[in-house]
Amino acid sequence: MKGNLWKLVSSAALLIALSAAAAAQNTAPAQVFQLPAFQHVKLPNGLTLLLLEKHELPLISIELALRSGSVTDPQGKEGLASLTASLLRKGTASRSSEQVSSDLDFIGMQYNAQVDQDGTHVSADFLKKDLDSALAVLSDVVLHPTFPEDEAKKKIAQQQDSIRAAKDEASRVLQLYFMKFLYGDHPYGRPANGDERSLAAISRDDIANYYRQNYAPGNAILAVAGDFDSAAMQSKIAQTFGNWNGKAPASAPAPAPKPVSGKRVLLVDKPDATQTYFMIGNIGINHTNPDRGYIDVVNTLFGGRFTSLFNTELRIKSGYSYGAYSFFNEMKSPGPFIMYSFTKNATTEPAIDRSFEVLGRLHKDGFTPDELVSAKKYINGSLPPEYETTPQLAHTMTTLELSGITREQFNQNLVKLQGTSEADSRRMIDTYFPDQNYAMVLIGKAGEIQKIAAKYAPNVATKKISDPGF
Amino acid sequence: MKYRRLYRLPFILAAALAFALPLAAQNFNIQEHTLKNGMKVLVQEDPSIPNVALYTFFRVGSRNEHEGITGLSHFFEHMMFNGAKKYGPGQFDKTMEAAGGSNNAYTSNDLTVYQDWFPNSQLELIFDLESDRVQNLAFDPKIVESERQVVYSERRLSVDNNNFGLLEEQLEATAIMAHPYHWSVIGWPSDIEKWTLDDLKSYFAKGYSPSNATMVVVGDVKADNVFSLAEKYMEPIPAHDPPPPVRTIEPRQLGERRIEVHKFAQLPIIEIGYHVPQAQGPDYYTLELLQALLTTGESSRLYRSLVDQQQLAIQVRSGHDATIDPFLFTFTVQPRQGVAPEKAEQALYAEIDKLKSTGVDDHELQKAKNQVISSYYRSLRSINRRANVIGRYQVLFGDYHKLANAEQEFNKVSAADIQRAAKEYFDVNNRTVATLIPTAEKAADNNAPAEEKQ
Repeated sequence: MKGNLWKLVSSAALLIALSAAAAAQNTAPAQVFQLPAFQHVKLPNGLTLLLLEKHELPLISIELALRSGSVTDPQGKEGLASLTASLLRKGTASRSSEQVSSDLDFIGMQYNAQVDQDGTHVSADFLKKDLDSALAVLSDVVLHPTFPEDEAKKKIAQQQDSIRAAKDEASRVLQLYFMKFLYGDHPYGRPANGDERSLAAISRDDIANYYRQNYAPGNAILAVAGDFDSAAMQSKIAQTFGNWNGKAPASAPAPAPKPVSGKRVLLVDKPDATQTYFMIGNIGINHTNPDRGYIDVVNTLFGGRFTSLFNTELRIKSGYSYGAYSFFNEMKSPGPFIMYSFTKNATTEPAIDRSFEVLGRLHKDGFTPDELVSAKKYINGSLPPEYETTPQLAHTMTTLELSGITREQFNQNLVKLQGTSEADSRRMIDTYFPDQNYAMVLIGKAGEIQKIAAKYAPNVATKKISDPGF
Repeated sequence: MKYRRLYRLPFILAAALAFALPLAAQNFNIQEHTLKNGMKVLVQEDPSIPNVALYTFFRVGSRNEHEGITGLSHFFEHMMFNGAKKYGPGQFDKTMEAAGGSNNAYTSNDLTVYQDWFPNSQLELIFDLESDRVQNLAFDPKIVESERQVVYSERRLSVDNNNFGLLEEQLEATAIMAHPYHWSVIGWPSDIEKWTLDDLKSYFAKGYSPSNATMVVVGDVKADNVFSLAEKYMEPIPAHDPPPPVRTIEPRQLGERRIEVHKFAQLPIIEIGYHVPQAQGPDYYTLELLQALLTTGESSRLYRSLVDQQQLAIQVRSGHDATIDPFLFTFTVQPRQGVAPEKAEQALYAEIDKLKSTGVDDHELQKAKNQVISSYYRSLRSINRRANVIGRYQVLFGDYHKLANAEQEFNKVSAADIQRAAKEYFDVNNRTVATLIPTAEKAADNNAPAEEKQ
């Protein structure tokens, strides 16, 4: 153990001098944040290993990712990838479910398995001294799960109830309804954790088959960040995961989604709601879009920070809402662009009107050079704490690899965004912030807001919050 | 705790990760300096990232309110961002964000905490912004009205339209009869509607003396530089009397209290509260271990029994906050659909009774210690969380030096302590139970909060 907990290395490695592109702006931050270097190794069985040493604290974080997410769920069995991931810990060839829990709780290890549209992520976070125990239990659940029938049934029933419980709180499920409504039958419209009905259609054999087809070393990325020696870690990982066999499934990328043309509105009735929760948006960008840095700058000013246009209008100036935000989810295929806010039933109409007004104002006025500089500085200043801890770094490495983005490309993008010009900003607004075509979902008390919803589209689709599905 | 703003949308769930860290003789290297006006400044130099976390803790919260102004501490926290003398309305946030910084704030029953995060080159600007609002806050009546609506929207988000928040508010109001912990931090709706400008002004005069504040700075700074900037910007602010002491002591509870909340929902919720001592009282560390034994991880007693083996609930949580005055240790259970809440409740008591009668063995106690110590040090992992923990130890536990002893304090707790505390606190006469009972859809109108009844 290091004598001093707070013995810290120099931060110089994290920073490079300003690039020529950004220097031309003359007002950009003095130094642009850059992600530190990490090692990239391919094991003979096809497993991709990423290693980033960070020695300030005696800690290690591991994240194992699969290039299979909920997009690979068969239609009607939404939630299969998610159930498979959550059942890994529920019994292995050599440990019962209870034994797995006891073993990882005893070393104070945090373990998590979750699935999004494009990937599966299993993570472990532990003390350096417990490396062997941690690797033993992590590799056991990933390589030797048995998926006991009773555990599968239990998990399915719990997951169905968790979805019902989530629907008791509009803010927890709004985005699921929005994704379904915006993407329709496209795989991104399917709920990654399934719904009340799709889960019931999944059998233990479905789960075991899903595991066999997708949990293969050639389909996996293992990222390790923390206090270790890379050569020693590589040989430990080779010992633990080197005998993992199996053929990676053919890559099945989601097709390009079709943006909404025209105006579509869904109202989900929640009869006890005293506030209407709403999202407005359309199809956005994928994670390799060359404009993503410019979009980040423009969205920061539009709805990405406290003083954004959107939050200024709905919170600061009018008091309609506790908050108003916009964001792009960058995914393997184009993810959504979403504007999100909420307001009391009585101000639902003016709040939505103002949301469209502010979008219109974005198109009319654009942003000034001073505003662009402010956003660039804000982004650069926010980056270091986002890549500060070993779990953040392990997750970043797997995510970049899943996205097919190298560290150099990631860093170049951070430099490039510092060069966003007024013309770039204008082009982003024209291309990525549609104001005439949109999908809108409202969760609220239909008895009070039904007529208002009808104002924003020729036909309003309706659902009850207690109806199964999204 | 009520935050000024949501930084991330609540449905984007970050993977919660943690670690364990056995620290024998650690050195936090905190340097301290007390200004002439009584403000304490604590600095931890850490150049690992080129950023700084600057937190200002005011020892004032909903505990210092009274009927009619409940929620005012939190509302005041919002008003601290709405304009002062040098930086007018909107300028605090605009200036900070343009300099690459961001901020937030939170209010609890005991404290109001202001959080700034920024590149190290902006340290002096942040001091200028902070001293302006602490010295010369302005109150524009129009902004007061607009911000009142923002806070009400926050109440709807976190209480009225959040069944857990709603039930917790009712539980606390039932369990705590006399002490100001009776009301929630966000405040009762009728008070939110009626706070006045004068209420705000007198609150500022009462709670915001520099002598009532502790500033914690962690990050890529030099302590000497921080201290001289503090002398330049904060020291000229005159001190005045701190808030008057809170006199009321909650009387001992003499029997179980039970309430029901009937509301439209798909799943019921049970919240159970037992009175326990304050942070500086006996058993803080023992109670943390009880929480771990009962609900941390899937090997915990209540998870194993209620969620895994009997399948009565989808989740069970427990916990208690470090508070200035005695408050509650609470359990939250969400029963499975179709399971009678009383059945889940009785299953919980059965586990507690088992703990009281047979205690814990060494292995299970060691597991809980490993979990608690690791989770405690996890809270020190980033400059932001470390600034928060250092400040909370200073103002809630009375001395930041106690931070270094936390691991020893956990290790001192014996199996006998666990059993004794379980018997002492988890007693039926010390218990309040609140149950949310789902009503049918057509009944929802009758159960909407009062503001919706026209």
